Amino acid sequence: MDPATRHRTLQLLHLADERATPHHIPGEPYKYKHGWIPVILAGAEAIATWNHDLSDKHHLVTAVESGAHAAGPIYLGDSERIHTVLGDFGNGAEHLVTTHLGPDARRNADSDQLASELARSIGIPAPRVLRIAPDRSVSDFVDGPTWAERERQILDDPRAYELVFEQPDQKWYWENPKLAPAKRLQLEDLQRQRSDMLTSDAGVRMGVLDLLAGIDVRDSGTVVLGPDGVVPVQSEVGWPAATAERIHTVTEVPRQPIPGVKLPKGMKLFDASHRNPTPPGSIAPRPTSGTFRDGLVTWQAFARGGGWLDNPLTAADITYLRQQLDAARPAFVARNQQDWWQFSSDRLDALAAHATGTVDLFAPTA
Amino acid sequence: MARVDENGVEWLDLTDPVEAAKFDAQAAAMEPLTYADVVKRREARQAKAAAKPNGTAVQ
Repeated sequence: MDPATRHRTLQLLHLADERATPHHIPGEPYKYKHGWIPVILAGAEAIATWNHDLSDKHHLVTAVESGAHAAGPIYLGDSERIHTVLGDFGNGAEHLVTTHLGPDARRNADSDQLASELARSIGIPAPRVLRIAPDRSVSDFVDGPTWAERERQILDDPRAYELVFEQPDQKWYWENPKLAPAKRLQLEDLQRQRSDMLTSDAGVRMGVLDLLAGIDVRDSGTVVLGPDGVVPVQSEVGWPAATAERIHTVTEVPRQPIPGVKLPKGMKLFDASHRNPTPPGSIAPRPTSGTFRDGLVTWQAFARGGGWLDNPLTAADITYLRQQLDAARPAFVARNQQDWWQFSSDRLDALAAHATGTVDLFAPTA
Repeated sequence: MARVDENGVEWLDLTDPVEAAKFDAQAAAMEPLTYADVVKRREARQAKAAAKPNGTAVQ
């Protein structure tokens, strides 16, 4: 097929696919809304359509072509938004199979795929993601426990995540004066390990990635403690639209009475001040993986469009990141997400304006 | 199309939506895995492979 015909065919397939994006219900076949064209791409055609570049993903293609069966679900991130399953493949490999759920499935799958491309392009060993359907991908399994698992292990409590993170209207777990001394020691250990993780070179690189990809809060299930340091795994939703709501819950709740606004009887303002985790320039004391970007921006000012701190990137790092981001642009164009690339580019400009480092974190040494 | 190997194991084509849904149904019936489970599982497979005379892995 000549290039022009191939390009036109792919355009038509893309158009058809836009109209046929399925809303997947686990355990049931795909369903389509009335009037949508039920175009289903399968096999090599699906892989060619959904992936811009297969050069480092041949092992995943081989695995997919050999077939798979499920080995069991694994929790990586928000289980209401994604299902992640470890799969045994016919060629003897084990990989993760991720299905994005809900009305934003396709957008989130784009985000997952492009965050992996972006991370790998700047030298972060994120798992490679092979997209095989609008809402589904196969990716490398990163060897190591997630930070969420490590939290449970350190606190010796299966409810660790809920205890330290999901208490929107209560004080933090460690602020409880009745906490047993042994538990307090465990929490201190947790905080120390967390601080080590965040301040490691790999942790700072992850913060830069999260800023570039618009991942403002990283779930502890999407952080794997790999053999060579902390690794971001898929499943976190990046780029602006999806993160705004989560920031809002933490940072934009009014804490002072608003002039002229009278609260109904019995209603109190939610005081979120104890959730302001970041003294300027320091690492947040929260015992969750939370925000790798904490050393790069201040939490609340950043939500209002400022808050950039001096960062440890060097001029060589910035040059390298710019070069790699430019090189990654075709992947964004292929997914029709040029505005995401622009978002990342703008954030890199902001990082460059505050780069004061002297030791390269990203730039390859000569 | 799914294929069945000589051991009777069915290998699903995940690019096919119907077979991918079957994969999801398999996973939904299973217990969630932790990393420790994954390691145990891998060790069991390696031990099983080592026990075979020709050293080939058994699924």
